[in-house]
Order: sequence, then C-alpha cells, then structure tokens
Amino acid sequence: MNIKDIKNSFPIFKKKINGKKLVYLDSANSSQKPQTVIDSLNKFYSEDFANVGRGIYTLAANASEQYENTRQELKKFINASDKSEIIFTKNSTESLNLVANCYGAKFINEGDEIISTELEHHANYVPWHFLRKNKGAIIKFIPIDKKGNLKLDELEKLITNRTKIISLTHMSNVTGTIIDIKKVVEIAKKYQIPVCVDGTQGAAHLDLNLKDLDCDFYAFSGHKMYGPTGVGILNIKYKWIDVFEPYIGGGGMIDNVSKDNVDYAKGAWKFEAGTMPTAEIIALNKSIEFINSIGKKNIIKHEADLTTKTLKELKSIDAVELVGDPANRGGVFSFNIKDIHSHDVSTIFDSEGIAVRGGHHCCQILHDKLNLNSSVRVSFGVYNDENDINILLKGIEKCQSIFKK
Amino acid sequence: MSNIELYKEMILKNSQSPLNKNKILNCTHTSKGNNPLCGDSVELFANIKDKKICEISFLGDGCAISIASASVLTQILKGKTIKQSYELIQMFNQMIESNIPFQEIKYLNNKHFELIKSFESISNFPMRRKCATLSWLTLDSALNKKKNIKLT
Repeated sequence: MNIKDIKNSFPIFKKKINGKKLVYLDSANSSQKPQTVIDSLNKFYSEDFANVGRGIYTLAANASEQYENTRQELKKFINASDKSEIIFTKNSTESLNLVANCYGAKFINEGDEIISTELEHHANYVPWHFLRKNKGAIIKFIPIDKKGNLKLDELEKLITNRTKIISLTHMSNVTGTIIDIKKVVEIAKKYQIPVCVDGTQGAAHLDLNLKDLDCDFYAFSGHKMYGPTGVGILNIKYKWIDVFEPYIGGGGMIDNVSKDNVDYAKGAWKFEAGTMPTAEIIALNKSIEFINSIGKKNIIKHEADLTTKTLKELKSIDAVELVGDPANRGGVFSFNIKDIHSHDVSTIFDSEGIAVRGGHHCCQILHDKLNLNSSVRVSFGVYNDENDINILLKGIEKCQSIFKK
Repeated sequence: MSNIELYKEMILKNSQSPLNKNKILNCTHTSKGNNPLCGDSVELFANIKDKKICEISFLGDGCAISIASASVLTQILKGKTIKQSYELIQMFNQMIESNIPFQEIKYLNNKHFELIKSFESISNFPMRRKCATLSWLTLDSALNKKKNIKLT
C-alpha cells in the first residue's frame, strides 16, 4: 500500500492550514473524504437526481437502485445476515436513540436495569438516561481500570433478573480500548439479554463480522468511514424489527394507510420515514469501495503501526501523560502535556497545521473517572503517515517552549 | 495572525501564576460559571460593601486564556463600584467581540491597560472568545445574585 497515493486521493490535503501542510489527526471525530466520494455527490445531483422509492420514471428507478445498492454493499461490508436488517438513520447517535427509544418503550420499566460502561460516548449514555429519567430505569456501569481496560469480569456480577439490555462501545473514542464484544454477547446469551453495540469507532477501524459478533444492534455512521455526513446505520436483528414500533412515522415507512388504520412496511424500511439523505447514502457506497480497494486488514495494520510508533515516542517524553494505555487498542489515544490545558495545546498545534481534538470528547464520565478535566486526542486514519507523527512531536515541543516557566 | 500570538507574556504569566486564586469565605457575592463545550469552569467570590467591591477572588480549572482572564479580572475589579463593574464587564465583552478597541475601556490605570490589552487579539479567534469572557460573565451573574451560569 502506497500511503502517498492514498493521501493524494483526498483533495483536502492540498490545502494549507495557517500556511502549513494539514496534519489531520481527528479521524475519530470525522474522517476526510476521498475524491470518489465527493464526485459521487456531485454526479448524483448533476446527472442522476430524483427522489427514491416513489416515482416509476427512469431517474427515480435508477436513484432507488443506487440507494439500495449501498444497503447491499453495507451488508457485505459488515457481513450482516440480510440487507433488510440494515436501517439508514441520520448518524450513530440517532441509531442508538432508535434502539433506546423503541426497545425502552416496550421492555424497560421502573426499576429495570441497563448495563453500560465507563468508556461510553455521550451518544450511548444520554439516550439511556432518558429512560432513567422518564421511566425510572437504573443504569449500571462496567468499570475500567487505570489503563482504560474494561473489567469485563465484573459484567456477570452486575447482571440481575432486572437487567434488560447491555449497551456498550466496540472501541473507545478516547483511550482506543477495544471491547471483546463476542465475549459480552456470549455472557449476555446465558441470561437472554440483548446487546447493543456503539460501533461508531469500530466500523472504519476494526474488522467487522456481524454474523460472528452476533449482537442484537450495531450502530455506526458513514462520515467516520470516509463517507459523507448525514448517514447513520443501524444493523438490527430481524426479530426486533417486527417487535419494535416505528421510531418516526410518515411517507415511505408504510404498507397501507386508511382512515382507521396504518400498516407499516416490513424490514428496515419500517424505520426510514420521509426523504432520506439520498445523495449521501449513494456516495457512501464509494467510501465502502475505497476501504475495500485498500483492504480493511491493511488499514488496520497501518493504523496500528502508526499508533505503536507514536505511543513509544510519547512515552519517552516526561511531560506527556497518557490517558490510559489499554492492552487491546485501536488507533486512538489521548494525552495531556503537564501544566498545559488541552485547548491551549490544540490552538498551538493548529498553528502548525495539526488538527486534533481538545476537551472531554463527549466522554465526561470517563474523564471524571480518571480525574481529568480534559485531554488532547490523536486519532489516525488511512491517510496518516510517519511525517504526521514527526510534526506532532514537534508540535509538543512547541507547546513546551511557549509554556516554559 | 498566527495562533500563538494568543499566548502573550501577560497571558502566560497570569495563567501560570494567577493572582487572587483563592476562596473568600463568607463573601457577599459568589457564582459558578462553566463552559460545557470545553470544560472550563470558574467560581467567583466578591465582598461588596457600600456598593463597592472590596475583595474579589476566583477558583478555576481551564485553559491559559480562561485562568489569565480571571486573574486579570480580579486585579482590575478590586475597588470598583458595582456600576463601574457592570460597565467594565460590558466593555470587556465588547472588546472580545471586536466592537471596541482596548483603549476605549474606561476606569483603567496604566497597569490595568497593560493587563487588558493582551486580550484584545482573542477577538481574532472566535473559538477561544468564550474562554476569555467566562469569568467576566460569571462576575455579572454573581453581582446579579445568580448561582450558576452556563455558556452555550
């Protein structure tokens, strides 16, 4: 794999930031887009545009076909059981809200328990909090150790006869911790508890095989896998589609409507009401193509190599304090430079063209647990290279020299 | 303008060795402010007698800009009347929004001008303006006897 060619396929890297080359280290937030994805958006609006699932004229039929092609390619991409189990949403957050909302409405009542973890993004906490607030549910957290490893041994101790769902991340967006979802599902099955996985970080950076993971729900978004914003995905076991009431109602999600009744569509379409982000869903197919053309395994290895190298360097700098150091990890990690706030670091990095995220990264529970106010996060994508690491290290030196007392 | 111009000597000095960073027990006015987006937090304490701030201090956790701003605030506001304080809060905010130059801020002596002018360039960095204004808006809510504010 030639990294230079990969970088060239992303037009944004031609741009200078504050007169410097862009060193984009914020892919866990959102990834940059290859030219093929951008071209697809343009092409759809210029040559192919029509709304999907409604008209029978040529343009509408073609648009519908392209739209459904993405669903088909997603099915292969994550090795899902059936394309009717792949629901398009607005983003991962909406996918998780859909699960909490639809599952909660039917199965969670006062005193019922939801098991989550201390690693979660707010997107996999706040929707469950709604059930705590509105229905009196209880949220329990599988703890982490100081290194950010999840103490999975604690899971079974937390399970009671009131446990209704386990909802947890596949990979932390702060520490990079990868959770052994297969093991979670294995334990959950013993007690017949469904498992919901926030795969937002997992989708672009881990080898996905949903049939093998066998969780009930897997939520992720297109924009973190080099695709457009506005598209989320929820892989859902079919049995839940029939059991759940629709999340939102309107056109497109119905079978038959009369003055005294509404029959809903079958399959994923039951949850897709109104005009969807059509151009974006069609362009998402190009991002899947892009990932497949490089090979997921090659991407994983490339990001792992960069992570290992960077962490080795960071550990040799006295003033750098890592936020956890989990054993099984992906290409995301966070740190602080002693006595310099993460936002000041981000601002100084920006002057060198380095894009990182400072703050709590929507994970306040995790930061509280580790006694931190905030941190600087670095996350890799397929386009990063060793030169990016060198510039990052120089950026750290620059922060230290500005803030030297 | 380069980003690092934010980190002028005055700002670095006031963030690394802030003045009046302590708690005044049994003060007449206090309020907490935080910026949920970035996690900066500040708590203001003031003792007001005869409509004048006779003592003022803060506690806080945040970036260099937010801590330096709180330190500078306490140095400038000590001894000011409530009316002057409200005006200063408003003028500081206007400077940060780049509506007025620092020279137009009233009630300052030469030392205060030196302190405040380092913050003028923050108006060029919209993402960091709230770091500078957090303590000033928290003082405003303390004067109004409000307990908490959140910047959104």
